Amino acid sequence: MGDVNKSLKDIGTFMKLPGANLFITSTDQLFNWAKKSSLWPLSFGLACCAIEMMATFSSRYDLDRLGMITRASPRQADLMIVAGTVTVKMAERIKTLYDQMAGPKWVIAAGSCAISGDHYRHIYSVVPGVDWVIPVDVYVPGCPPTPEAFIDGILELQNIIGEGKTSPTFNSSPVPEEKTLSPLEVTKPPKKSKNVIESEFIDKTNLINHSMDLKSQGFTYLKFITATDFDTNIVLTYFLGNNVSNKEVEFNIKLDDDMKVSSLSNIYSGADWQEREIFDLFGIIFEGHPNLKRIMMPDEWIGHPLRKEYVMDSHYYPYRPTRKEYEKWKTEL
Amino acid sequence: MFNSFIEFALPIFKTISILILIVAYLVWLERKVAAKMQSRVGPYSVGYPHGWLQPLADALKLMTKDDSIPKNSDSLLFNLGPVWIMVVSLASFALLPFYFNNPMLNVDLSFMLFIAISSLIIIGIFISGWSSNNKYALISVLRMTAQIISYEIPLVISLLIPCILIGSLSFGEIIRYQEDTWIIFYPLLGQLSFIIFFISALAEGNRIPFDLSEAESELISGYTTEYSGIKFALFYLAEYVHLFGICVLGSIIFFGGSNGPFFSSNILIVIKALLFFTLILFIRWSFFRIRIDQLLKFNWVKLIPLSFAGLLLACLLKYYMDFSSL
Repeated sequence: MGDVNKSLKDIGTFMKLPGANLFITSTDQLFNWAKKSSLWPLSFGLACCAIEMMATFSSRYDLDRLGMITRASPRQADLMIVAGTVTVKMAERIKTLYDQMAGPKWVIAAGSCAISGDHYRHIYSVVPGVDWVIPVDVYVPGCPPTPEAFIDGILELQNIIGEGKTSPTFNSSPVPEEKTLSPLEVTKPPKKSKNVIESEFIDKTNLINHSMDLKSQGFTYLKFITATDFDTNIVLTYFLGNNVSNKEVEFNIKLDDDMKVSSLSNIYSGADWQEREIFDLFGIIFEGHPNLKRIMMPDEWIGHPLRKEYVMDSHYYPYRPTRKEYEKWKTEL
Repeated sequence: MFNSFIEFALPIFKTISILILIVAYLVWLERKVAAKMQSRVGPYSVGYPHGWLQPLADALKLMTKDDSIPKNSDSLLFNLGPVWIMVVSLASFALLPFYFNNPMLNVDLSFMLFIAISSLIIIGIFISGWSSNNKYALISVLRMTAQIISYEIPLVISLLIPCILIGSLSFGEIIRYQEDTWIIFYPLLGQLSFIIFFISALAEGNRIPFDLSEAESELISGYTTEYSGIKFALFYLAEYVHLFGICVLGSIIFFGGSNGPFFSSNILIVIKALLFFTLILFIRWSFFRIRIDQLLKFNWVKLIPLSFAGLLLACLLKYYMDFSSL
């Protein structure tokens, strides 16, 4: 930015010259025309709205008519179209990309998820509106917006730029009083649910030997591992396949209080990622796993979202970053 | 003193302005041809018939963009890169007779000098990619250096074949020789050297079967990843100036330069170069990208032996013709 006060002073002395106002206004108009006539968007999309955005760029609707071509490098892009649901993990990336873009830059929030979070608003991993994170110029509603709506939003943005207005808006509604609960305070009464799993249960100390036996019988393909929370206990389900005889085998392990089980990743290397996912979402610790870290949620996340005791439907929610935290993030800019 | 400066500077100024104008509309032409091939319309609403003000808008907008220099980069080299590329690609036009009746620099070895100057471009690309302090730029630059250095060999040798048949390395001589028949109609050797030239010109100009340095899906936008604003515009223009230079070279050496079927004029060089450019555009918008190892293997195993065989054939033919005429 440079020294703002000094450059304002320069403009002040320049403005006293005869005809300076006329010159500045006309060059301003020229440059505003240039800016609005070649808006280069960042080729970047998040979810289903991005599919509609691609449709808007391709043959039938053709945004190249308005002089828009996508640039892959944020340094050369003028416009960021946030098309899709903004998750907590993605919000950081969006912020980084926005900071990397060279100004003057504009943002279109396309689709109800990017505007407000829509029906994912209360979900543990979703930011309710991209304007919590970056300033937005034009909101394009729709779920997803039609190509016509996209074009309408772009024309609106062109009007804004052409008139020389800048309207970067962070979410300016008052920050609500947020109840800060500690994760331990959030408890739900346990519901009784019936264990409907009918297939074979084995003891968890027997897991390694059992799967070694199965592997020697030709069950070399670990199809999946999954976990189910029955409130009183968590059941791990293993599903193995034999690619020669085309047979499948399924067995379960019941975990009561001790959430520890030995890892299968030494026997089936395909177990590595699936066990990480189960650790991330259910908090089951796989002993002997080479790299037991979170795979989907951010590293500093509190709690395990697919557990029954994890409260999903609270807006003031202890796990997700709050509006206040994002406000802090903004002022650090 | 002042008059002699004007005499020196005016043709340079004229050539550069005409060249920039042509190149700006080459970008517009490319966008239009691409749109036509994908059944779109292309630039339309910026400037009344068919978005003819689009290049102007793009250039003005790029001038108003922020200029960002990466934190730990070598800022001297980072700023030198785009200037170097632009200067080198414009300097090679001093040798080409494309606008005035005579080229600005009239030397006997103009063909060799053109090749020598335009191969300096790789230095500018290398320093800009290296000083960006960006891994995508570095990978792109390494690929591009390997590509351009290997494809320079078949390019030069395929252009030497017509030069040997004609017996001169100056563009004036080459154009004068083709008053009756163009080199492209020379039996066997003409077509062979043209095909080799065409393939290596695509690689030299970084166009699509060989645009590995700007592979968007892998390398963001290659060595220009960290450049914004006017520096990026310089890269963009320089790439097209270089490509247009290669097209002019092709039109002089293979398509008779200023010689036409009905009349002869230097404007024909530009028209032929534009047609040649459109041919490259058709290739660009209908082909896929090939892998770096396939690219280099194709060059060293097929193209270079073929071009050397053509060169040998041309030498033998020339020797036999000279000998028999004695």
